[in-house]
Amino acid sequence: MANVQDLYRRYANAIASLDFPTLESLVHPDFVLEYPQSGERFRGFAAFKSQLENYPGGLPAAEADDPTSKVVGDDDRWAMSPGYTVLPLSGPERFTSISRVPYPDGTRWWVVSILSVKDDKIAQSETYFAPEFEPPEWRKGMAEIIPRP
Amino acid sequence: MTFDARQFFVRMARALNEGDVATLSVMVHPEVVSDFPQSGERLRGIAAFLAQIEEYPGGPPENADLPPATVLGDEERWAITPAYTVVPLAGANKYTVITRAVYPDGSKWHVVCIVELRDELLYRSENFFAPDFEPPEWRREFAEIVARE
Repeated sequence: MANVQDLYRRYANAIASLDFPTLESLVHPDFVLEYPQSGERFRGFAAFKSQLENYPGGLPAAEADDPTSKVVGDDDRWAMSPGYTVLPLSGPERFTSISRVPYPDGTRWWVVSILSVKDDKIAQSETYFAPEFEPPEWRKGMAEIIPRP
Repeated sequence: MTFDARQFFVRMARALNEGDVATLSVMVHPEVVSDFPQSGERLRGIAAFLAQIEEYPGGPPENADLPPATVLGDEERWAITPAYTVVPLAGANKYTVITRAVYPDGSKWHVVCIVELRDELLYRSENFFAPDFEPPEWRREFAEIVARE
């Protein structure tokens, strides 16, 4: 079973560096990428690669090594049997990644992806793009403000 | 009765969308921490959590025909031993919940939450808000367009 933390790091780094041979080796032949915000669905590596290569102004670099990047789910994927044997989890391998991406216009966005793994490769990605915003006045009395990285 | 995390989050998403503070007040842990990484806001404790629902400018939005929340993680919390005994997963109760929300101006957003339960109550929540956008022209030839809900 793939170590999803490691798989995600290599996947994000390959996207950031436009390393297409590495990227192709990490994604499943039936790879599907979805952007639910626009309703777009990209099927297969060729479509995935085309939209990375043709990004206007150059691709925003996913900061895979950014300390704020994280993978949620990997540490939850093991079970303890009554005999204290640690067992790999059955079922589909899914995890959630959170990263930060700078765009060509200088804005920074959060990118949250629900990723599925099949045959130790990234098989599906459902990706959401969330911009920064200023804390609204009406909520100021309720919230602490944490410096954004 | 067995706790059903999927039903819990579907009910919570509905209560959030309807501004149903009475329902939320029995679903949220007293020590809840809710983060909005896009703005750096952290709401600490149930009073702050409920106040930001009650005081939302314009009141609860109209929510006609919103799809139910998608909950990732619940079905993956069981493992099969070599003898085919199903055992519950040990570890943190972490889930990813994807919902749709309608804002007072009528815009529909995707809301992606990384959530953690404690004592069958919402304990930690990290929330990302992602607006709809139109598919850009430059990648029309690579993408299918899936109807948005």
